[in-house]
Amino acid sequence: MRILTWSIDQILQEVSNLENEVKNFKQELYKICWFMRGSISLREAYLMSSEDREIISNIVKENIETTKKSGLPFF
Amino acid sequence: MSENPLKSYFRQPKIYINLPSKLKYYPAGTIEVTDTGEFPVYPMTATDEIAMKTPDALLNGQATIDVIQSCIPNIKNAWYMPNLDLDAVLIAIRIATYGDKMDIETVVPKIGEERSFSVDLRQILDNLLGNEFEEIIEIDNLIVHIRPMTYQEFTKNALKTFEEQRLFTLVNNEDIPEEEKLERFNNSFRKLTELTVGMVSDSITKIQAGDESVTDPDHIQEFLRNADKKFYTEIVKHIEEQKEKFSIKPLTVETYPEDREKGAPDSYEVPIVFDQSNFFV
Repeated sequence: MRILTWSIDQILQEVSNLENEVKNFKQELYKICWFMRGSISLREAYLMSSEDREIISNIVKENIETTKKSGLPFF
Repeated sequence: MSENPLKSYFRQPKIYINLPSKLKYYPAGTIEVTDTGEFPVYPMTATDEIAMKTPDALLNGQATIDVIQSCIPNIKNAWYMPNLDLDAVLIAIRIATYGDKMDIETVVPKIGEERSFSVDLRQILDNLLGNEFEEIIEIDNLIVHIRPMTYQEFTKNALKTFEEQRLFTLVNNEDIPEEEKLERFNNSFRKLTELTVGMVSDSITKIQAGDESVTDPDHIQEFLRNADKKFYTEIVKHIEEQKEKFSIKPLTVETYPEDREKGAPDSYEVPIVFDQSNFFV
């Protein structure tokens, strides 16, 4: 509600920031789904908490590292 | 419908909280009371986080309502939640989602250098729980009963005030003739005053004068409009004091020795404010 005390310019700036944040956030969710190769649906990703997403992102990172080290094809 | 076999994989409550209002002021059916009096708080989902980043939903309060009802499912209709529970509920959701530490950025007075420190949100939450809302105030043989505003009333009033203040600033446009400016200024000023008086009268549930009790909102509003300034001021002061009790107190921060050498005071107060930049990690 503090946003109501801001100037129009500040509000418009915040709106733009929020729109970008949402876009980045959605990208993070789509990435999780893509890297988990279908084992997590988009619907499930939207229901995940921040902690769960962090754990999965770490698993994805580990898998990428393992693939690099083992030389197995990733894509 | 049969029980979902995936139920055990649903998100789990991270913390349990009591509410500062001690469940008073919730209309029937708006909250599901538990045996312990404590309510489970679940972390925000990605959907909740996106809702909190949707500008229109943030402005009209819908984002906050959706997130509260998602994370504290015992609150069935958060629009009717007394406003004095709002900060505690949001802090609890923040703790459940990102943990009990929150980083605050501050500028050290006199030296103007930025510092960052960590705040213990559990401590802030505990401080909010120990307060009591004083419903009764006696002014000149009149006993006035007040209640806290609901989140719906709070949002509605904040939006109306916002609209009026916007109109107020538009009046300063150079293209508008002076006479019209004055008229618009008076209109806005009158509406803002009415809004404030309306908020105060909505907060009064009953006025007792001797054996007589008045609960009719129209009678209360009429009385408020015609009462002397002292009565009105004392009511507003009492309401403000109650609001203050349930707001987050600023934190006293001790400065580093190296900052003191540069001229910073020994300590200074930092307001703890939740906004988009620090509510999310």
